[in-house]
Amino acid sequence: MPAARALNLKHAQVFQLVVIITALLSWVIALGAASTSILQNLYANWQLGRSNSITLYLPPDADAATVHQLQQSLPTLAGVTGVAPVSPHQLQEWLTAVVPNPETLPLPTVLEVNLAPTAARPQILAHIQQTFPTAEIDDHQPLLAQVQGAVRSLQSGALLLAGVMLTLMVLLVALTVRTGLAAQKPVLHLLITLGADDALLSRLVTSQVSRRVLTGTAIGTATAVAVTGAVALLNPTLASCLGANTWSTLVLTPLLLPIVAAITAHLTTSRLLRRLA
Amino acid sequence: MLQLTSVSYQYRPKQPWAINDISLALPRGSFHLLSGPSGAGKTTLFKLLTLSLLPTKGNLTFAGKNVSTASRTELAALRRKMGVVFQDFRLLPHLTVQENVELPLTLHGALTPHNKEAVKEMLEWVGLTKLARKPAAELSGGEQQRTAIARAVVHQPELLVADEPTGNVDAAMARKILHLFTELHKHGTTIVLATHDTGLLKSQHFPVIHLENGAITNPGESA
Repeated sequence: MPAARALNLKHAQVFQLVVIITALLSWVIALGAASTSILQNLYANWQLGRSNSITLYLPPDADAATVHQLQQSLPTLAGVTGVAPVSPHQLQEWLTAVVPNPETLPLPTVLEVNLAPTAARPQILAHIQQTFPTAEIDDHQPLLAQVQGAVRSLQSGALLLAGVMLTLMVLLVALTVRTGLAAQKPVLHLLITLGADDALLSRLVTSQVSRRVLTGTAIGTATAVAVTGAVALLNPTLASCLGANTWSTLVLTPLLLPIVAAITAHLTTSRLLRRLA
Repeated sequence: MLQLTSVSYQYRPKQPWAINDISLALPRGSFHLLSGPSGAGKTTLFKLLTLSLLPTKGNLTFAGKNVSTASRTELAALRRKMGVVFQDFRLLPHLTVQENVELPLTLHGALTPHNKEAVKEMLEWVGLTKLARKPAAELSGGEQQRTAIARAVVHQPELLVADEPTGNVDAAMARKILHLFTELHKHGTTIVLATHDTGLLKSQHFPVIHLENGAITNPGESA
């Protein structure tokens, strides 16, 4: 006979809700963790494309010889991997979105300067300004720093959310164990009289709580995986940001709930048994 | 086996003593009857003997261990050496008769195939084999009592403490239960049997501990 049948927590109403509430908590925690990972991937993809380039805007009336000189001199600098002018056709396409009849406008010369990650930016920027003082330099580095700050803030928010979910789990389990054992007080006294020790009683309670929390976690996580998969199918941009790290975060983070639940159940039971003496 | 030295028990401070300065020795293999009117302190003494309560004052030693200084784990180990029959049986209604009888062995981690056989023999002895798979909630008073007795002795305790074990059974079953207790006693089990049954008290030659107002009134016979 499994000893757990002797001390059954299901008589406490809140125990019936453990699976549902845990499923909700794990669903939120899984999606929160996955969002953090997606955001990280999105930022990393974007950063790769942006951080290693500088865009130079040279006025439409710029001297062609000076432009040519700049184009020739830049690749000779350490860390510059390439210089490519943006075609007037491409520029007109960009401007069409914001200006009517862009073909009538004088177009600037736009140069995309690609840099190695180790490039010494200050020297390169100084060289550009020296060669072409009127050049407008669009360096993405400060913007990247700003975006990175925003990403970190969102990740902190997700972490905070996980903390709130874990706290709710602790409260739920503590309440379940307290009400469950209060409803089973005569049985508890009987089992103690028959020789059950604290370790056994704690094991009986913890295993019951853990089973329910694991079931809820499995349901919540499976739902979160399904939702993420479905959204990725509908949104290719999101799909491109789903890496192995996203899926592992999605599946592994909710496992914190059963761990926290087991520790809470054990500590709450031990404390209640000591008080019962 | 069990020794009480100047033991007193008070449920709450400033309340009267439920047990007042009792000294009592229950040597290994002894058989004592416990009697007394309602409110005499029998239930409190019963709880002290089963280690459900610990003395407020004085010393209670069981199997050489002072229970007041024992750890919770040590107390659990001491309780495993006991068998207890409650007046109100205290069976778990959702468990079957067999599961109730197996309970001490389950809790002690001793439900071996050999012990399962012992459970079957015990059920046969108390005449409950046919009811083994019936939930305890569906048993009559007498059947519950027999189940409670089987549960108390199935793990062959060193000390058996029984509260009115013959209270709800017919005369034939009462004789059978007393016979079981005397058999256990012959095999070395220390027994304390609380009873109101004057016939039983007169018919047995075992020493009687008589309680009144929380004190033993016949200390010479018991201590």
